[in-house]
Amino acid sequence: METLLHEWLPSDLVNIIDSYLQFYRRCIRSTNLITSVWDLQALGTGQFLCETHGHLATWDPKTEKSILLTGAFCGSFASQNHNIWIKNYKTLKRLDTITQTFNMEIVMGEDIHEFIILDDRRLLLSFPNAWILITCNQDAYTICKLKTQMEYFGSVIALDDMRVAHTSDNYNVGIWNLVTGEMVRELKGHSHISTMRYLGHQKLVVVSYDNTIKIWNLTTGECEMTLQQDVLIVDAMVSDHRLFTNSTDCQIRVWDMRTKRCELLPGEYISFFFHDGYLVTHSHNNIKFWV
Amino acid sequence: MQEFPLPMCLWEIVTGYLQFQGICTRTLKQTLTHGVCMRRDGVLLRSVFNQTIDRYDGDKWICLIQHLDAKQILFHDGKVLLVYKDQVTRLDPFTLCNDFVIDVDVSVHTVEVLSDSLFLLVVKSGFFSLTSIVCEVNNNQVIQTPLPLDFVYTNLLQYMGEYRLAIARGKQIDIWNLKTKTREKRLRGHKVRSLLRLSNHQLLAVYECRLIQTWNIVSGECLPSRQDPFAHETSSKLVLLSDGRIMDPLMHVWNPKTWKCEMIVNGICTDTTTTSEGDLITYSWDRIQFWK
Repeated sequence: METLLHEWLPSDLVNIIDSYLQFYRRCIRSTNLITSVWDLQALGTGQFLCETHGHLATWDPKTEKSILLTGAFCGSFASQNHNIWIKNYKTLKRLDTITQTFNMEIVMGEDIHEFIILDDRRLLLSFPNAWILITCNQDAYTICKLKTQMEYFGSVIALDDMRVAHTSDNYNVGIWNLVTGEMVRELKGHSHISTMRYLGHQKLVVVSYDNTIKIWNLTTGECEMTLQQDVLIVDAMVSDHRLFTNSTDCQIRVWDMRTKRCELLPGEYISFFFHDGYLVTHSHNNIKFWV
Repeated sequence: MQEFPLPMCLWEIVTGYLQFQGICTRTLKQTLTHGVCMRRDGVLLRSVFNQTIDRYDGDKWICLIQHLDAKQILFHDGKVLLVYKDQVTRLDPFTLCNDFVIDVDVSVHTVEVLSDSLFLLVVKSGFFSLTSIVCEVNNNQVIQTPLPLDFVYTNLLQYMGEYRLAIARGKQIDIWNLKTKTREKRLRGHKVRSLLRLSNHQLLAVYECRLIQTWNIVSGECLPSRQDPFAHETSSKLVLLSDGRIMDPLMHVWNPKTWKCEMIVNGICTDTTTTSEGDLITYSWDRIQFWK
């Protein structure tokens, strides 16, 4: 509906209508939780994955029932369809949330710094000055060390088509093709980089510590937009022409990318994501759905 | 200590004299130690297997109390804090008198010592939920203040002084004021692995993604994150040395201004405490070492 309005109406009128429609400003559901939720992600099964006191559990938004999956662990995790990859120091384990069993374990010789899911079969593990590509086949996996010439550890996020974005130093982002092992593009002009987020459709958000947000077009290599916020951003997502940011003050700001106007979503939130047409936010003891 | 209002050049001279040198002045072996405390009067105490309390007489260990059978034994202000399933008591190990007894209606989960006058009592408030009671001890009287802090892990809790407590839960660090019972700040970063107090206002967060970041807990501002240099081989916490430098679990000493490793100390360390002069004491199950 929003897109149709943009196509047919003058932009001034669209802005006025937008302010009345207020997408993702109406909370239609608020669920209080009996325990502290540290992190929340959407699984491919329609369920949510909750981290609570270091334990992982699934939570079904329809039935509001949860199933405890793991004991406490210190480490990070990421979901892939109905699987969860759990990193704990040198070990990476894959947990099937349907059967509730671990079906793969990868043990490396040293602590895994970060891991990212590239696609259904492949993972990228980062170590100081090295990347390892893991390719999974059923219950086996192969390891391939990638020949990159990194001088800086940096952080890395997955794009698509076996590409990743890497903070090649504090100020520039390198776009790497993992098939060829080469850096295909470098995005310059940031101050000290804080966070990156891939929005899909060849759009990359890069946030710097001076609170600037740059949105890059990876096809053209051009910076399409620069916004300035007053608080440091830790996460960003785009829905239609709106940029949603979560910041160090735990507030979600909604930017209209056409007018560069910013509004605050009421409340404090740990994280947010879009699921099934809703904006889902969560704080420690509450999950909200917004339309 | 870093906030002492000295000009920087004078500060460098003062810290130069007070600097941790990494010299082991004394080693006690075969100690079977769980906990160590050096009291203000210089008496060294140890706890063994949550069962006994011993004092060191300069030559051998002398048992003061045995068969305690506590869930946790902690040292608090030179005395012994005994944690049972539904009770917490503080015992003077020499007079064997209780300073106080706290009875808990529900089950005690854990106790964390914050300072000589404060400790945090975490109780189970439901099947899967915890809540905390801040206990402030003044002349053996305990003032209990319930707070909604569902603390679980020691390395995710840091007392900052001035009644401020930092508690990390996932990607979020809450700064609570224990006096006013209010949450002063909520800071969002990456998933936190451990916290370390650098000064009353400066908090170092070590993240799971192997980055570190220094926060000002009053203003809510942070410095740019950088790669985590510390060793993570054991579950030990990072230690702030008296000269402002940081020691990691492999006893590498880091300068937080340059983030360079300035010293590798040859010792074994599971946990640490200090003498009343602020000198470092490290201990593991088989030895206690004193450092200058």
